[in-house]
Amino acid sequence: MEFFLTTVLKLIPFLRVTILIAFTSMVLGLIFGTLLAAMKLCHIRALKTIANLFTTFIRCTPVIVLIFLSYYGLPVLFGLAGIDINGVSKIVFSIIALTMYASGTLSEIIRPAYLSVDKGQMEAALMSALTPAQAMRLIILPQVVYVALPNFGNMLIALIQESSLAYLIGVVDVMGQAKIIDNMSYGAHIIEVYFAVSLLYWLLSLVTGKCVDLLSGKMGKVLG
Amino acid sequence: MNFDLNFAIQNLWMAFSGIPTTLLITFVAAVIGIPLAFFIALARIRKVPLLDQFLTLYLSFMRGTPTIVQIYLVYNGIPIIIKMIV
Repeated sequence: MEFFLTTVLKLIPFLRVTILIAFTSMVLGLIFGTLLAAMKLCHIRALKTIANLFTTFIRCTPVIVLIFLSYYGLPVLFGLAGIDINGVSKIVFSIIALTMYASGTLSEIIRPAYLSVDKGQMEAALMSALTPAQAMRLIILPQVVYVALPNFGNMLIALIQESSLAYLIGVVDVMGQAKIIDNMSYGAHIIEVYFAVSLLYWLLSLVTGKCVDLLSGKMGKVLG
Repeated sequence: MNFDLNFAIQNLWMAFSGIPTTLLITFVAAVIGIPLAFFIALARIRKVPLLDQFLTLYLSFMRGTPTIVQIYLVYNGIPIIIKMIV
Protein backbone atom coordinates (compact mmCIF):
# COMPACT_ATOMS: atom_id res chain seq x y z
CA MET A 1 0.00 0.00 0.00
CA GLU A 2 2.80 2.38 0.87
CA PHE A 3 4.57 1.54 -2.37
CA PHE A 4 1.33 2.23 -4.21
CA LEU A 5 0.96 5.70 -2.69
CA THR A 6 4.58 6.71 -3.32
CA THR A 7 4.23 5.48 -6.91
CA VAL A 8 1.12 7.62 -7.39
CA LEU A 9 2.99 10.65 -6.04
CA LYS A 10 6.00 9.89 -8.25
CA LEU A 11 3.79 9.58 -11.32
CA ILE A 12 1.74 12.76 -10.86
CA PRO A 13 4.39 15.11 -12.36
CA PHE A 14 4.36 13.01 -15.54
CA LEU A 15 0.66 13.72 -16.10
CA ARG A 16 2.04 16.94 -17.62
CA VAL A 17 3.51 15.00 -20.55
CA THR A 18 0.33 12.97 -21.07
CA ILE A 19 -1.80 16.12 -20.99
CA LEU A 20 0.61 17.93 -23.32
CA ILE A 21 0.50 15.13 -25.91
CA ALA A 22 -3.27 14.61 -25.70
CA PHE A 23 -4.32 18.26 -25.75
CA THR A 24 -1.88 19.35 -28.46
CA SER A 25 -3.04 16.49 -30.70
CA MET A 26 -6.64 17.42 -29.94
CA VAL A 27 -6.16 21.06 -30.96
CA LEU A 28 -4.18 20.17 -34.09
CA GLY A 29 -6.63 17.37 -34.83
CA LEU A 30 -9.53 19.83 -34.67
CA ILE A 31 -7.79 22.12 -37.18
CA PHE A 32 -6.90 19.35 -39.64
CA GLY A 33 -10.17 17.51 -39.00
CA THR A 34 -12.14 20.63 -39.96
CA LEU A 35 -9.99 20.95 -43.07
CA LEU A 36 -10.64 17.30 -43.97
CA ALA A 37 -14.37 17.68 -43.37
CA ALA A 38 -14.39 20.76 -45.62
CA MET A 39 -12.54 18.77 -48.30
CA LYS A 40 -15.15 16.02 -48.06
CA LEU A 41 -18.02 18.51 -48.38
CA CYS A 42 -16.57 20.56 -51.25
CA HIS A 43 -17.41 19.90 -54.88
CA ILE A 44 -13.91 19.21 -56.16
CA ARG A 45 -13.69 15.47 -56.72
CA ALA A 46 -9.90 15.16 -56.29
CA LEU A 47 -9.97 16.80 -52.84
CA LYS A 48 -12.89 14.60 -51.81
CA THR A 49 -11.05 11.45 -52.85
CA ILE A 50 -7.86 12.43 -51.06
CA ALA A 51 -9.74 13.23 -47.85
CA ASN A 52 -11.71 9.97 -47.99
CA LEU A 53 -8.61 7.87 -48.69
CA PHE A 54 -6.74 9.51 -45.81
CA THR A 55 -9.66 8.96 -43.40
CA THR A 56 -10.01 5.31 -44.44
CA PHE A 57 -6.29 4.74 -43.96
CA ILE A 58 -6.33 6.32 -40.50
CA ARG A 59 -9.41 4.47 -39.33
CA CYS A 60 -8.03 1.11 -40.50
CA THR A 61 -4.66 1.53 -38.79
CA PRO A 62 -4.01 0.96 -35.09
CA VAL A 63 -2.63 3.99 -33.25
CA ILE A 64 0.48 2.09 -32.26
CA VAL A 65 1.28 1.50 -35.95
CA LEU A 66 0.79 5.21 -36.64
CA ILE A 67 3.20 6.04 -33.81
CA PHE A 68 5.85 3.66 -35.18
CA LEU A 69 5.29 4.92 -38.74
CA SER A 70 5.76 8.51 -37.63
CA TYR A 71 8.76 7.75 -35.39
CA TYR A 72 10.66 5.57 -37.85
CA GLY A 73 9.15 6.81 -41.11
CA LEU A 74 9.41 10.60 -40.84
CA PRO A 75 13.21 10.66 -40.36
CA VAL A 76 13.56 8.57 -43.56
CA LEU A 77 11.13 10.83 -45.41
CA PHE A 78 12.89 13.98 -44.24
CA GLY A 79 16.24 12.31 -44.95
CA LEU A 80 15.24 12.00 -48.60
CA ALA A 81 14.69 15.75 -48.63
CA GLY A 82 18.11 16.21 -47.01
CA ILE A 83 16.77 17.41 -43.64
CA ASP A 84 18.11 15.85 -40.47
CA ILE A 85 15.45 15.52 -37.76
CA ASN A 86 17.25 13.13 -35.45
CA GLY A 87 17.38 15.72 -32.66
CA VAL A 88 13.60 16.21 -32.60
CA SER A 89 11.89 15.16 -29.37
CA LYS A 90 10.02 11.86 -29.32
CA ILE A 91 7.04 13.75 -27.95
CA VAL A 92 6.75 15.54 -31.30
CA PHE A 93 6.57 12.23 -33.18
CA SER A 94 3.85 10.91 -30.90
CA ILE A 95 1.93 14.18 -31.28
CA ILE A 96 2.18 13.86 -35.09
CA ALA A 97 0.85 10.29 -34.97
CA LEU A 98 -2.00 11.16 -32.61
CA THR A 99 -2.84 14.26 -34.66
CA MET A 100 -3.22 12.05 -37.75
CA TYR A 101 -5.46 9.71 -35.78
CA ALA A 102 -7.49 12.57 -34.31
CA SER A 103 -7.93 14.48 -37.55
CA GLY A 104 -9.18 11.40 -39.39
CA THR A 105 -11.69 10.56 -36.69
CA LEU A 106 -12.71 14.17 -35.99
CA SER A 107 -13.41 14.84 -39.66
CA GLU A 108 -16.03 12.07 -39.49
CA ILE A 109 -17.50 13.77 -36.39
CA ILE A 110 -17.48 17.29 -37.84
CA ARG A 111 -18.92 16.37 -41.26
CA PRO A 112 -22.26 14.94 -39.98
CA ALA A 113 -22.44 17.68 -37.33
CA TYR A 114 -22.19 20.29 -40.08
CA LEU A 115 -24.81 18.48 -42.17
CA SER A 116 -27.14 18.33 -39.16
CA VAL A 117 -27.44 22.13 -39.10
CA ASP A 118 -30.51 23.08 -41.11
CA LYS A 119 -29.91 24.72 -44.51
CA GLY A 120 -32.41 27.42 -43.59
CA GLN A 121 -30.01 28.71 -40.92
CA MET A 122 -27.49 29.78 -43.57
CA GLU A 123 -30.20 31.23 -45.82
CA ALA A 124 -31.75 33.19 -42.94
CA ALA A 125 -28.32 34.48 -41.87
CA LEU A 126 -27.53 35.64 -45.41
CA MET A 127 -30.95 37.31 -45.66
CA SER A 128 -30.13 39.21 -42.44
CA ALA A 129 -27.33 40.93 -44.39
CA LEU A 130 -24.53 38.89 -42.80
CA THR A 131 -21.63 38.10 -45.13
CA PRO A 132 -21.09 34.35 -45.78
CA ALA A 133 -18.01 34.43 -43.54
CA GLN A 134 -19.94 36.12 -40.72
CA ALA A 135 -22.85 33.71 -41.11
CA MET A 136 -20.43 30.78 -40.89
CA ARG A 137 -18.66 32.14 -37.82
CA LEU A 138 -21.66 33.50 -35.88
CA ILE A 139 -24.54 31.22 -36.85
CA ILE A 140 -23.37 27.89 -38.28
CA LEU A 141 -20.14 27.19 -36.38
CA PRO A 142 -21.57 27.49 -32.83
CA GLN A 143 -24.32 25.04 -33.74
CA VAL A 144 -21.84 22.60 -35.31
CA VAL A 145 -19.65 22.78 -32.20
CA TYR A 146 -22.63 22.26 -29.90
CA VAL A 147 -23.77 19.16 -31.81
CA ALA A 148 -20.25 17.73 -31.97
CA LEU A 149 -19.14 18.61 -28.42
CA PRO A 150 -19.94 15.27 -26.71
CA ASN A 151 -18.02 13.46 -29.44
CA PHE A 152 -15.13 15.91 -29.10
CA GLY A 153 -15.06 15.00 -25.41
CA ASN A 154 -14.96 11.29 -26.20
CA MET A 155 -12.16 11.92 -28.69
CA LEU A 156 -10.12 13.84 -26.10
CA ILE A 157 -10.53 11.01 -23.59
CA ALA A 158 -9.56 8.50 -26.27
CA LEU A 159 -6.46 10.59 -27.04
CA ILE A 160 -5.48 10.66 -23.36
CA GLN A 161 -5.61 6.88 -23.33
CA GLU A 162 -3.97 6.29 -26.71
CA SER A 163 -1.15 8.64 -25.71
CA SER A 164 -0.10 5.98 -23.21
CA LEU A 165 1.19 3.97 -26.20
CA ALA A 166 3.88 6.61 -26.76
CA TYR A 167 5.97 4.85 -24.09
CA LEU A 168 6.75 2.23 -26.75
CA ILE A 169 8.98 4.70 -28.62
CA GLY A 170 10.52 5.88 -25.36
CA VAL A 171 8.41 8.88 -24.40
CA VAL A 172 8.47 9.26 -20.64
CA ASP A 173 4.84 10.05 -19.83
CA VAL A 174 2.83 8.47 -16.99
CA MET A 175 3.10 5.06 -18.63
CA GLY A 176 6.78 5.49 -19.51
CA GLN A 177 7.69 6.51 -15.98
CA ALA A 178 5.64 3.59 -14.63
CA LYS A 179 7.73 1.25 -16.76
CA ILE A 180 10.89 2.81 -15.30
CA ILE A 181 9.61 2.45 -11.72
CA ASP A 182 8.59 -1.13 -12.48
CA ASN A 183 12.05 -1.95 -13.82
CA MET A 184 13.79 -0.28 -10.87
CA SER A 185 11.84 -2.43 -8.41
CA TYR A 186 12.69 -5.54 -10.50
CA GLY A 187 9.01 -6.23 -11.22
CA ALA A 188 8.33 -7.03 -7.56
CA HIS A 189 5.59 -4.39 -7.28
CA ILE A 190 4.23 -4.62 -10.80
CA ILE A 191 0.56 -4.73 -9.72
CA GLU A 192 0.86 -1.68 -7.49
CA VAL A 193 2.57 0.25 -10.29
CA TYR A 194 -0.12 -0.46 -12.85
CA PHE A 195 -2.90 0.19 -10.36
CA ALA A 196 -1.32 3.57 -9.74
CA VAL A 197 -1.16 4.20 -13.49
CA SER A 198 -4.77 3.19 -14.02
CA LEU A 199 -5.86 5.40 -11.13
CA LEU A 200 -4.19 8.44 -12.68
CA TYR A 201 -5.59 7.82 -16.17
CA TRP A 202 -8.99 7.17 -14.63
CA LEU A 203 -8.97 10.46 -12.72
CA LEU A 204 -7.74 12.38 -15.76
CA SER A 205 -10.49 10.88 -17.94
CA LEU A 206 -13.16 11.59 -15.31
CA VAL A 207 -12.09 15.21 -14.89
CA THR A 208 -11.91 15.73 -18.66
CA GLY A 209 -15.36 14.18 -19.10
CA LYS A 210 -16.83 16.42 -16.37
CA CYS A 211 -15.30 19.54 -17.95
CA VAL A 212 -16.79 18.66 -21.35
CA ASP A 213 -20.19 18.07 -19.71
CA LEU A 214 -20.03 21.48 -17.99
CA LEU A 215 -19.04 23.19 -21.24
CA SER A 216 -21.82 21.42 -23.09
CA GLY A 217 -24.35 22.54 -20.45
CA LYS A 218 -23.13 26.15 -20.71
CA MET A 219 -23.38 26.11 -24.50
CA GLY A 220 -26.84 24.58 -24.31
CA LYS A 221 -28.00 27.50 -22.15
CA VAL A 222 -26.52 30.10 -24.52
CA LEU A 223 -27.91 28.49 -27.66
CA GLY A 224 -31.23 27.79 -26.00
CA MET B 1 18.39 3.87 -42.77
CA ASN B 2 16.76 3.51 -46.16
CA PHE B 3 13.40 2.26 -47.25
CA ASP B 4 13.82 -1.20 -48.77
CA LEU B 5 10.69 -2.26 -50.63
CA ASN B 6 11.93 -5.81 -51.25
CA PHE B 7 12.47 -6.34 -47.54
CA ALA B 8 8.95 -5.05 -46.85
CA ILE B 9 7.41 -7.41 -49.42
CA GLN B 10 9.38 -10.43 -48.19
CA ASN B 11 8.36 -9.84 -44.62
CA LEU B 12 4.77 -9.05 -45.46
CA TRP B 13 4.12 -12.80 -45.47
CA MET B 14 5.63 -13.12 -42.04
CA ALA B 15 3.33 -10.33 -40.86
CA PHE B 16 0.38 -12.14 -42.42
CA SER B 17 1.12 -15.18 -40.27
CA GLY B 18 0.03 -13.10 -37.27
CA ILE B 19 -3.47 -12.55 -38.64
CA PRO B 20 -4.98 -15.73 -37.05
CA THR B 21 -3.84 -14.52 -33.61
CA THR B 22 -5.39 -11.10 -34.21
CA LEU B 23 -8.65 -12.67 -35.37
CA LEU B 24 -8.67 -15.13 -32.47
CA ILE B 25 -8.29 -12.39 -29.86
CA THR B 26 -10.88 -10.19 -31.58
CA PHE B 27 -13.52 -12.87 -32.04
CA VAL B 28 -13.19 -14.54 -28.65
CA ALA B 29 -13.37 -11.13 -26.98
CA ALA B 30 -16.46 -10.26 -29.04
CA VAL B 31 -18.20 -13.59 -28.49
CA ILE B 32 -17.76 -13.33 -24.71
CA GLY B 33 -18.02 -9.55 -24.51
CA ILE B 34 -21.24 -8.97 -26.41
CA PRO B 35 -23.48 -11.29 -24.29
CA LEU B 36 -21.80 -9.91 -21.16
CA ALA B 37 -22.51 -6.37 -22.36
CA PHE B 38 -26.14 -7.36 -22.85
CA PHE B 39 -26.44 -8.44 -19.21
CA ILE B 40 -24.59 -5.37 -17.97
CA ALA B 41 -26.98 -3.16 -19.93
CA LEU B 42 -29.94 -5.11 -18.55
CA ALA B 43 -28.72 -4.73 -14.95
CA ARG B 44 -28.24 -1.00 -15.48
CA ILE B 45 -31.64 -0.52 -17.12
CA ARG B 46 -33.41 -2.48 -14.34
CA LYS B 47 -31.26 -0.62 -11.76
CA VAL B 48 -30.52 -3.82 -9.82
CA PRO B 49 -29.42 -2.60 -6.36
CA LEU B 50 -25.70 -2.91 -5.57
CA LEU B 51 -24.98 -4.47 -8.96
CA ASP B 52 -25.91 -1.19 -10.64
CA GLN B 53 -23.51 0.83 -8.47
CA PHE B 54 -20.76 -1.70 -8.94
CA LEU B 55 -21.23 -1.71 -12.72
CA THR B 56 -21.18 2.10 -12.87
CA LEU B 57 -17.80 2.02 -11.16
CA TYR B 58 -16.58 -0.82 -13.35
CA LEU B 59 -17.65 0.86 -16.58
CA SER B 60 -16.12 4.18 -15.59
CA PHE B 61 -12.84 2.39 -14.84
CA MET B 62 -12.87 0.44 -18.09
CA ARG B 63 -13.61 3.53 -20.16
CA GLY B 64 -11.17 5.69 -18.24
CA THR B 65 -8.03 3.57 -18.44
CA PRO B 66 -5.93 2.72 -21.50
CA THR B 67 -6.27 -0.80 -22.89
CA ILE B 68 -2.53 -1.33 -22.56
CA VAL B 69 -2.76 -0.72 -18.79
CA GLN B 70 -5.69 -3.13 -18.56
CA ILE B 71 -3.65 -5.77 -20.38
CA TYR B 72 -0.77 -5.32 -17.92
CA LEU B 73 -3.15 -5.45 -14.95
CA VAL B 74 -4.81 -8.65 -16.14
CA TYR B 75 -1.56 -10.31 -17.21
CA ASN B 76 0.16 -9.62 -13.90
CA GLY B 77 -2.88 -9.59 -11.63
CA ILE B 78 -4.56 -12.90 -12.45
CA PRO B 79 -1.57 -15.07 -11.40
CA ILE B 80 -1.48 -13.21 -8.07
CA ILE B 81 -5.22 -13.70 -7.54
CA ILE B 82 -4.89 -17.42 -8.37
CA LYS B 83 -1.99 -17.70 -5.92
CA MET B 84 -4.10 -16.07 -3.20
CA ILE B 85 -6.95 -18.53 -3.79
CA VAL B 86 -4.83 -21.68 -4.03
